[in-house]
Amino acid sequence: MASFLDVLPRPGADLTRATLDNYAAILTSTNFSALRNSLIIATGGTALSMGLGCALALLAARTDVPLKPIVQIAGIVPLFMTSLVGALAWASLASPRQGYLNILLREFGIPATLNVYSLGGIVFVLGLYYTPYVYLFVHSALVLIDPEHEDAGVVHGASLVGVLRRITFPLVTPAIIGSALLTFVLMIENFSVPQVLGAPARLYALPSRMFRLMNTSPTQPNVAAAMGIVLMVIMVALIWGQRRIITRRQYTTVTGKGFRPRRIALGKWRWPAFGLVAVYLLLSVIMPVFALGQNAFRPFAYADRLGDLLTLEHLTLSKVTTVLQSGTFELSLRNSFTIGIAAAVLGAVLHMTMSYAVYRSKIRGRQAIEYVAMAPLAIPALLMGMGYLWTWLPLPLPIYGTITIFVLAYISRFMPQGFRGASASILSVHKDLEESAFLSGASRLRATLYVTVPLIRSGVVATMLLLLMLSMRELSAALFLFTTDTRVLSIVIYDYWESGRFDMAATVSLIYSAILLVVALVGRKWLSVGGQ
Amino acid sequence: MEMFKPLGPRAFRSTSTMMAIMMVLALVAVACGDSGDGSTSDAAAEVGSGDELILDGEVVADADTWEGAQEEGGLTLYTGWGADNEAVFAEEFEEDTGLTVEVVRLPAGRLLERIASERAADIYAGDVFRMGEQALIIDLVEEGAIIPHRVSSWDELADEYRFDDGTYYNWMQSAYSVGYNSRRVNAEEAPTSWEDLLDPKWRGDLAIPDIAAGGSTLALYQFVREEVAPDYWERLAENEPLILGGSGPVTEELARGEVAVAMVLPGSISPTMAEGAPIDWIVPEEGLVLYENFMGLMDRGPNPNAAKVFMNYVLSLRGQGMLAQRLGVYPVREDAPAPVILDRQLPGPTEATLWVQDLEKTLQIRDDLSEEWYEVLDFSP
Repeated sequence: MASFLDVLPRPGADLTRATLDNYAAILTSTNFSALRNSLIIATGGTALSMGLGCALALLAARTDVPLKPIVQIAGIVPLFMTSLVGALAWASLASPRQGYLNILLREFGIPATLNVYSLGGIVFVLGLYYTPYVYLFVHSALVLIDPEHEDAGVVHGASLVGVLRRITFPLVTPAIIGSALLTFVLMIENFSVPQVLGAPARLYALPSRMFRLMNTSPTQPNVAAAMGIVLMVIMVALIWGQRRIITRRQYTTVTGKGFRPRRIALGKWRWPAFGLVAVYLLLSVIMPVFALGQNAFRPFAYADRLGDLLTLEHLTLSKVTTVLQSGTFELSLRNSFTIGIAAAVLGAVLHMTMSYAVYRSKIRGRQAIEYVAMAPLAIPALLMGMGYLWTWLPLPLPIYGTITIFVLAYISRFMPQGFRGASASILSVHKDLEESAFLSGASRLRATLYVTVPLIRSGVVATMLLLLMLSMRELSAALFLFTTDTRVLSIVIYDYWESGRFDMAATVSLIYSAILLVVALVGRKWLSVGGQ
Repeated sequence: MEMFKPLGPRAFRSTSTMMAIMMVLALVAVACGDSGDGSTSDAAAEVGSGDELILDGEVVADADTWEGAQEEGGLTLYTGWGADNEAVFAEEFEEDTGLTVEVVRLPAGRLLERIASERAADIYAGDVFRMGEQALIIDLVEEGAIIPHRVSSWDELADEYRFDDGTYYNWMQSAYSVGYNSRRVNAEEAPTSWEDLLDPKWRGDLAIPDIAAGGSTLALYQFVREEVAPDYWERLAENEPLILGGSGPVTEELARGEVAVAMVLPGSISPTMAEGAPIDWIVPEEGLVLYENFMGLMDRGPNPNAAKVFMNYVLSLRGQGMLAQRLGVYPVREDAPAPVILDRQLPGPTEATLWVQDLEKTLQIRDDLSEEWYEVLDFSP
């Protein structure tokens, strides 16, 4: 609403002061170029993620690529580095003068310079770190295709490429379109990568522009809100387009018949294919971790020769111990976990209830619940943070400035993911099981609690883990909600970066990534036990 | 139009003299006797046990305020100043007074947004407010969010540091200077003046902060044009500087050697320097440019007495001396010692020209100034 006013929708504000000037302000050259940059970044980044993600998924699901466990890990492990961490790492790897890769190029006398402070650099980093989303979608779709479809193609004389192009890919079209849309939406609302990598090149994307409008004097929150709305319109249009494409055709490929997925023999391309995977792993995880390590384990990050990067002299744990002992780190770690766990538990309960209402109950208007659940997908995180600030302040509930506001914001922000996860598990349990308990005399509540809930337990846990991970990674929505005492890990990293302590930002980033990895590993172990 | 004036002759005292004076004052305070029972053992900080708060022989809070403050136990500070600095300040204040400070540190824009939203919702959570941009604090005064308080050291302050009969104060000044990466540039080649930054040898190898970063950058860019060269901005633009969002990222790029030289805040680069990063700063021939930070008492704060003690402390000799020596900023009290950053004393007005902006003029021209800067530097705001 703020976007239509020249005052903010604070309590008592004169809401009759409506104006379209804030939208006109978007048409100024800089704001407009931010819009154009956003579209370029999201399109380019999505293309890269799609290419990488589909290739990795295909290799992992359908080929005899060597060292397959590594391929499978490569598909998901970059998830544990958030795009903020990736952007920080790539800033030290490929800044135009002293980036480690440029030092390397100079060392070998190669007259080329990599510059990550560019549109290309932003596209590259986003592409790298959103590949896992594509991988996860496409991989699970590929695993489910009945190979008979492909066999039919081969029998009729199609080549390998022909089968892939005419049969396999068309069959996983919903997964491909779905993941393309998701990555596009995530990239266009991504704040940290254009913020870290765009600033030195004077490049803005819509989110970093919005943030700037809110943070430099004089602030222009109404224009920022208007930009947020433009961003939202783009996202709504995309989601609507996706629904149209997917509902136009029937894509039932999963028949429930038992089968073994067909494996494509790569022949002499086996190792080159693995090489591609190794390069991806190198670029997305190994080199960035190395770069962060340089900042975290050396007294200072200055290097002008390759030797400076490899020498074991001057290595120190002092920064790591400083961070681990600091009150800030302890506080933010506690906040991150408290918020994450609360959002996971409360979110899972809410999302399960909503999903149950939609798929199992006969409540009037239950379809509307689904639309409400999916709506946050179209709301940019920064805008949601601002909205929460303006909405909750006037209410008499004293949650502003507390971690409760984070929990509420995260539950609604991740509602689409939570709802999808919850729905998947509820749909997997046939209605008849619950109905039979109901018919045998159990109350509806009892039937649900004793039949459905135990059956979907692992689904619930999976949903909670997903919510925990997403909450712990979130930066954008938190930016307008935190105060000194409610800083979370991602905010601490961002603050260190903003105040010029790259070394500390890198140190916390490494620890943060390690924590995310551990959470996922512990969760996975727990999950497989729970699933039995 | 004279925009800038050198800082008037302020009698900075050297650290050692200062310590001697503090010792003497402390001894006098002890000798005066009425605080002999259970007072702190810190020789410099003499907290009057009974009635008033006395530090370094100066009354920092009268009996009523001090008693009220002790009942309140602490205060909440809304600030745009660096979080590291505020943490040090809060620690020292707590040691001297036993009152706790809850620091809410946010960038200026978000802090103002928060205060406006809170007030609209009838929430009054902050007690004292401080930030670098005068225009913003004036807005708060006009909205009634900042209310007057005459600090205990009112008579010791020059008129230019106290505004509207105590509505708000300029409580310290920080210096902007020229810095360089000492691994990429040796001391002989390092710039010695603001003018040197325009040397074509630094083309594309120079980082500067965006003018919108805050009040500090307004002072900086006015200064270089008014006092160094009228066409400074144009020549700076020819040198293709890397323009970054604030002094933080500028320090980062300088420390990594991504640029060789930069406009820096000596006070802010000191933690990075202390870690051993190869950066250093100079006192330019034309002088240092100082910028102000302002402070005011917040309307209807929950801890009004502790808030007053805090403000009095900031402008007391004790607080000002601590600011100079632990945090490396220029105090506004003439009787306070000169600032020190990592054992290096910053120049006093007799050793270098210290430029301060004409605040009233800055207020009038700030928007036009930013707009023109963006145009000249070909930087889209």
